[in-house]
Amino acid sequence: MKILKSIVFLSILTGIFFLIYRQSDQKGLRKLWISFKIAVLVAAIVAGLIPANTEAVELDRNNHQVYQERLLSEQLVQDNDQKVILAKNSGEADALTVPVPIIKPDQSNKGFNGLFGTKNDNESCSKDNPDDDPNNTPFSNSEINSDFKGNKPESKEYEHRMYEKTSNQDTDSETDDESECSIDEVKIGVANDGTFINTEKSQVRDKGLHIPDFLDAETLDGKFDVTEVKDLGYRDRLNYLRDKNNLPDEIVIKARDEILNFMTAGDTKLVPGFLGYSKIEGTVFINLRLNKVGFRDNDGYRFRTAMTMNDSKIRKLAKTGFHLFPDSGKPEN
Amino acid sequence: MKIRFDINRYKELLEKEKSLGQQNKSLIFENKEEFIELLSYGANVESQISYERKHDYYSLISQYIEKVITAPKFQSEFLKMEKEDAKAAKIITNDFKQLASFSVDFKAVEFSSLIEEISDVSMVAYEFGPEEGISDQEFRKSIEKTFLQIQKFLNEE
Repeated sequence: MKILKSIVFLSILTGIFFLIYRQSDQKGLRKLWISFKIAVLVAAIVAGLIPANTEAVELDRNNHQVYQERLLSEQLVQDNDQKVILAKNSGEADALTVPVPIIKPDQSNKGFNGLFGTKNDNESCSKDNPDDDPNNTPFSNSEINSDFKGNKPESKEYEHRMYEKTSNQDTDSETDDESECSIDEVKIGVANDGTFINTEKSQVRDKGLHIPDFLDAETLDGKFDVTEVKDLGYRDRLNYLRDKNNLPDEIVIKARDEILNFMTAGDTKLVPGFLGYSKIEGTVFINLRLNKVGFRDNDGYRFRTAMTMNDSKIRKLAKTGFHLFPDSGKPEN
Repeated sequence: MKIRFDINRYKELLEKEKSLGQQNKSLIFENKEEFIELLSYGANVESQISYERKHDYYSLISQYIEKVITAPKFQSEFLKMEKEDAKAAKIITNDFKQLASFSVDFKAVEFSSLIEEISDVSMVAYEFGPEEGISDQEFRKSIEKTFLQIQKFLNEE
């Protein structure tokens, strides 16, 4: 009886394996492995080698979750020097040594060459309080129970994380720590094509000059005066913006939410494009209704910039292959 | 010579973009030429509005050239003016009646292309600074070059 079951098992296994393998949207070895796993499971049940238990067979997740899982695993091979601290509603934080970026984009990744990528942001060695943010979601919601919703206009399905970056740049540190640490709160928005936008608070802060493009004067009144920054040179301006007394966290968080509202809006168009002279690959976000343009890189799907742009500039962007600031970082003649 | 707008065509393009949007598509991908054409309405209105303030622009650029104001001050003031123009243009493009009676001087398009050059370089400097954007010397050189062209343009008027 056992031999018969085994024969039935093997023949069913082969059949199911090829069927799943052909239907699978996975690639390479992963496709092979997943097809094999599912085939073994189904074949074993059909052959009666393990008791049929629908609860055990049924995958308790939807397609989107499978998608996320795959993407996460792809990321395991890169960017391993970042720690993710997942904030819970209780204020506790779990530290995991998993990589930060979520989705590997279609376009080939390029190295991250400047354009604020090398910033030494000391804005917070003390942990920012995630409880202040109503959109904060607990670890279980963001990682296990992800109710991933793509193609949703004005999506508020943001994940909220705190990343601890380690760096050895702090040679002048007055602290006893040997390595510099900065806690960077990241909010993840879901664009209308289902892809993620990792929005670091520090990046929004550095782009503080564009904050009035996203928040009205009433919100900014008495809290952030952009006119004080405008006349400063670039370095002084950055230092000014990185000081929480000049630009409070509350404003940065509100601005980040508004930026994500624009970037995840249903009528925002996502176009493959570039940033800077070194042609950083990414996605240009264009919203004609709001006259807003943003950029997210392909190196971890990180938010890089967002601003108001007039029609003539958007037109030029379209004419030049959606290359944002093509002369930025161009070597001098 | 003046440019007048074909409102029916504008409405048609808007409608096309709207209906494509409902299918998660856009003229950007379906017909880039039409997408650029759609944006040209707003861009041309912006040109005319900037042109009408040409002396304000000239005065601001002169102040920077003569080192009356610093580069960051110039950049922020310049971009602010441009934003004001865009805001005024948006009001017109959102109102078909106003747009129908609006006309754009050919000279305005020429002037705005010069302004756009300054705007581009100012945005790079403003956004990225000298280290990752454009050096102070390159910035000045670029503005001076365009300033001469603007002077020539205004003298020929």
